Amino acid sequence: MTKPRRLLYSVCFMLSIYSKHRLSCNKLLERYPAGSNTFWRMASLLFCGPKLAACGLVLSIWGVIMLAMLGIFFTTHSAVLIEDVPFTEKDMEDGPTALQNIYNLYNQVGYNCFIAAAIYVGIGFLSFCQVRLNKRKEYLVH
Amino acid sequence: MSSLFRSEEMCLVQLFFQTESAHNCISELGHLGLVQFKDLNPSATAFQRRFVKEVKKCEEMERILRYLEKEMVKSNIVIAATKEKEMVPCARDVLELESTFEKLEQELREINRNHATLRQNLIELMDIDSLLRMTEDFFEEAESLLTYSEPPSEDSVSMTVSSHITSRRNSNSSTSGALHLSFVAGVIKQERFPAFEKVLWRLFHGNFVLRHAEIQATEELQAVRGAVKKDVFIIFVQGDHVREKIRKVCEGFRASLYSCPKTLYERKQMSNSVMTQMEDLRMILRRTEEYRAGVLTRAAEHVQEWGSKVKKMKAIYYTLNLCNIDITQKLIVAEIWCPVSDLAVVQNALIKGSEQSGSSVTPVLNRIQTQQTPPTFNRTNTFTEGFQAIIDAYGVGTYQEINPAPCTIVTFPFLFAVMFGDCGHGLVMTLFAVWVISQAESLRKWKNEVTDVVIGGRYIILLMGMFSIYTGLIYNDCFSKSFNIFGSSWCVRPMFHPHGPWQNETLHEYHHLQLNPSVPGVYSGDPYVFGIDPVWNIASNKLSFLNSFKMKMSVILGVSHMLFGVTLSLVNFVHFRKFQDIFLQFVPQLIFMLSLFGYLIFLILYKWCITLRSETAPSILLLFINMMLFDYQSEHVLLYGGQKGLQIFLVLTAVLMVPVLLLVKPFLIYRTRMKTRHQVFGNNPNDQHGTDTRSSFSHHQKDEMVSMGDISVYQAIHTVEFCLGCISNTASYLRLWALSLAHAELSEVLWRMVLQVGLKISSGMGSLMLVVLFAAFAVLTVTILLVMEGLSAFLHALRLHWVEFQNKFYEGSGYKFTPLSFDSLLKTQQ
Repeated sequence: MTKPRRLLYSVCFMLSIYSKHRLSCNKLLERYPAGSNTFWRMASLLFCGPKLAACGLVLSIWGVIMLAMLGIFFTTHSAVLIEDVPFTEKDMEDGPTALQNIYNLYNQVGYNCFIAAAIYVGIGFLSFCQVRLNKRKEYLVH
Repeated sequence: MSSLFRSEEMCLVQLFFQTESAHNCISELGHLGLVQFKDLNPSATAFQRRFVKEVKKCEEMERILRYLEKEMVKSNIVIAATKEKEMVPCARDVLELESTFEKLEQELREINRNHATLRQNLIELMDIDSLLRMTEDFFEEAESLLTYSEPPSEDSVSMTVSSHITSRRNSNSSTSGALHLSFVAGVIKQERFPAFEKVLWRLFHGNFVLRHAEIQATEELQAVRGAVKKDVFIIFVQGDHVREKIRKVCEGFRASLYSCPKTLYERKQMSNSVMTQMEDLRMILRRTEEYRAGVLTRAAEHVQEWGSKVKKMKAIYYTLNLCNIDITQKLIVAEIWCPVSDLAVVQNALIKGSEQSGSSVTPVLNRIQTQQTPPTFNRTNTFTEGFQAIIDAYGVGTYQEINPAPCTIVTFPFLFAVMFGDCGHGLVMTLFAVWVISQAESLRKWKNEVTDVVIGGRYIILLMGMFSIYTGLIYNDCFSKSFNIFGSSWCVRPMFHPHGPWQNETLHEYHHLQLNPSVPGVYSGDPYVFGIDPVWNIASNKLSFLNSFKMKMSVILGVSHMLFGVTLSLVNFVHFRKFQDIFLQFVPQLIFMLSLFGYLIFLILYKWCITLRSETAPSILLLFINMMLFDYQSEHVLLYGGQKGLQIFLVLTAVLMVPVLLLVKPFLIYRTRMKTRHQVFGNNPNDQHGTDTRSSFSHHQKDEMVSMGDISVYQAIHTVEFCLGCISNTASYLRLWALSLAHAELSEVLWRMVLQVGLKISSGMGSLMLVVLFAAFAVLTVTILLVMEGLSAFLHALRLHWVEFQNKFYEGSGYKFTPLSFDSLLKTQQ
């Protein structure tokens, strides 16, 4: 398995574990609402304020959309993005595989973009949970 | 005619209504928000007006309300927001409200005073309590001292170390026999203690024992007293004289002294009594606070309603001060400015008001003719409000002048977008504007100045964003990259052998190669369907092409905008029936502008349309300069046949228009004045007719305040301003090119220096770096490109409108219509 693919799978695995944990917390919180103190420790997974969480959410949505589109444009070998591809003199030597080398580089950058978009999906989910926790905390205090 | 193109027609109306129904009528008019009261007593100062006492009463009530609100905020009581439209109270209710307020204020002040006193007592008792507790050990020491002064026995071995030391210190002074130690006990601030100790040592040379300990700061102590640290001290001395001196020193250091009983039993009793007293005081304090909270909560339910009532009363009294009261004290006369189309609504409101007050006489409306200039009223809705505000910021339009606001709704966002031109940034801006529009009400509660400005301009930002997406698609620029949607018209492959000159070796020899459009196949012949060809994004001479394009586009846009402004002045002349000015001002101005700058636009468009060889193509700027200097040498290349003749004709026409603008109008005015004067003097035989004409002549004399000299100077200034302004304003529109270049370059730099670094890393860590760098890219895009460049482009587009566009037709010397409106009054307060 190639390195980026391994990384992608490990990240997804970690995210799934974390999301399961959060879902169980949220289920418990829903079953016992009205701020009982025992569940306060679970809600202390809140680590950023409402504004930071909202900014993180907006940033992640933008990141997902833009990086996904960039990934698509790289994998379709768009000529406008030629300057963002890290090719060297060696890749452009005369030979049967010169064009294929460039295309492979394009694909690599494209996959990087897709992985980054996936990471942003995770960050977006995290920020969304923080936003919900902040709202819940607001209601509980009052 | 009620539309945004022109300000509304206003009329001056006299109102007569009875004094009893005055309050209700004015309150109805205030709720309507359509009339502006004229000041009928302009010579009276604020203190000479009739209702000045009532206004003062209202202000006093407002002060009490502010005090109440402050108290509520201090005790964290939520002020309930009321939403219903309450009826305005009449004069009787004012007295009732006044007495309620005064009672509330007195009560609150008394409660606060008592609270402060009780708290002071509690602090004292707490001090005494801590004093008693801590001096226990000190007294034990003192007892041991007394016993130790007796001849030592076996019991003396069981002394504590501290008493050992003290005994050593005092053993010199101890004599056989019982010592009579008296003491002074008290509490002093910790920061003063070292100085206190030093003074005592200097005074008494060690003939005393001083013990001190810090009072442990418990939470309760901190809540009551604050963070001040205090020390308990006790001084054991011999003799009363010394004690008196010590007392004086303590007073000097502002230490509070408490009498401490000598025996253990008495001290215990005192401690107990202090404890019970403290408990009582705490309970009383709690009760006081509860009572205070209760009073404030009851008041909090009504405080907003009272506030709006008082504000309305004050506005009504202020308005009544502007009116005339009849001699019989029964009738009030008011003069109001009111839109003609709203007269019926105003009348209905007045009838409703008088019915409410139960008076039998309906108010009378009497429309009067006047020579005074009415205020300018532009009826706007939430969408057009923002645009009207930015026009009014420069100058409120003269009465019934053409209103530039409807044109500004389109031209302002468009000129902004020409300078901003990026569809990615435009999309972000549009989404932001949509969010602000949907959350406008909840964002208003933040009450921040910056957010208020953003909320006021939310529709402007929306339009700016949408137009930016459009110009971004034309410039083919999205976060500095182009889209290739329709297929580029340029192709590189035909440049190679066998079609074209390039070989494999050419690639190795040269770093930069230029595509040659005359080689067949390189340029397809049809330009890109919409916008700039995407091939320019990866060309290294991109800027040479884009600069030329954007500069010419700016000049075209600028001249069109200014021609539009000149045309609007024609509309003004037609409306105000100044037909003479059409031929004396509008036509020469138009001809001047068209023959010089209209011809420039023609040259630009013509050069774009014909095929030229780039080596021999003439520069438009040089052509224009030579045209003005009449410089036609044979080696200069011209664009088309007959150009020399046409250009000479146009320049001469333009130059001819200048004296027309300068001289004809003053000459005509002079001639008409001479004619009237001649007519008067020529009619001497007929005496009766003569007196009439003489009176009309004297009337004319009064109108002739403006002398001929003033008129000629004004006309000269206007001509010079227009003619020179044409050139400088056209050049000023080049900022459209300059700002769009700056924006494009900043965008490209940001992409290349931030995001490309992450894209170029091909290893596995590339994606993580990309995540971090994308966040940086997003933050920098928003702060630098959206906020900074956005504000800059906004400012420049606004300046282009205010100066270059509006000085062709706009007078802007009116005053704004400010109606009596309770809604805006309450909104501005909140």
